[in-house]
Amino acid sequence: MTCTDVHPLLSDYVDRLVTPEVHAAVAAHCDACASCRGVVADFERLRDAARTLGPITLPAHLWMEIAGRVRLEQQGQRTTTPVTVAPPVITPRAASADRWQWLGLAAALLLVTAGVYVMSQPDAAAPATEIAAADGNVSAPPTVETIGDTLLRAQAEYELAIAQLEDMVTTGDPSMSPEVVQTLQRTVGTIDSAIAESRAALTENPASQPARTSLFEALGNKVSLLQQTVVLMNEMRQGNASGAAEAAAGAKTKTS
Amino acid sequence: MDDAPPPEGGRGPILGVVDRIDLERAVAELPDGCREVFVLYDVEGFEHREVGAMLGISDGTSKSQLHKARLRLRESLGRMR
Repeated sequence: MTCTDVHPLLSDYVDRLVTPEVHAAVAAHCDACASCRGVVADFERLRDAARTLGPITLPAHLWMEIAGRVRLEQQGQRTTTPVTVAPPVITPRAASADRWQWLGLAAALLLVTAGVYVMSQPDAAAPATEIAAADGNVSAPPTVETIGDTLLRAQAEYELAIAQLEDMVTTGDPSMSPEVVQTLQRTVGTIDSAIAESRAALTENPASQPARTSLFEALGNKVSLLQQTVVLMNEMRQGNASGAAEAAAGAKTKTS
Repeated sequence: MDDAPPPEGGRGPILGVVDRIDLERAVAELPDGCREVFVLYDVEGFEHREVGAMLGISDGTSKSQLHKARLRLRESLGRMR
């Protein structure tokens, strides 16, 4: 094999994603080629260094796209016959069995965030007649029913995300320490009290903007906490103790 | 940036200990496509199959983007030394 043959294979070679035959051929070439051997050594350093990085925030639009794709994937898994996938030669990193579940939770949280954002806009819950009168046009203003539906959907997604999270935290993730679980539960309880108070105020006076703002601020706090928790769980799962500590500190800060 | 194979008998490793801050900076400068794959695969630990599903690309594209990302990072970190 020449460098031209070997070069495109080096990344897969480092990750041990090539067949044993190809691996042996690339190894033989690298024994004799300082240049390709240097690329391999550098790729290994890069890979090892990358694993020490904490979570890197991808652009929001990308996470929204990922959330959509995960949803589609989950729907597909529910409605189609499972496809048998040949196992890789070597798993590059400790793959978690419930990674898709984690992604599903992340997707659900994103949808909740979007729902909360939409509903927290000043005009979002205004009566349809007010909107139509102020607007003065006929471009299908949101109705009370559709606003109510949107709110209910946002709440349903919200409750689903919470249920999934609580299930994962209490039963599905042994890496989460009892102390962290207790802290999270205590913090969630505090936020839930604020949500309940805001809901009661809104029930008493549905047109109250301060009550609406307060409710969605509390919901936003809870979503932030859940997002931090997801990060924390991911860090714990990957064995990144320092990243988990940072995430836990962030979760506490969000609610303090 | 040149993604062509190195010349036969060329230089060896160009990276020493990779500084975390330098790496973060170099990752931030990657083009979107290969940065997303690098972050999801090398940092977050997803597999190519999962990265492909998340980004709507094939496993092969995920692998080639990762290769490209690593080459670019190698070059940019090599220049920082």
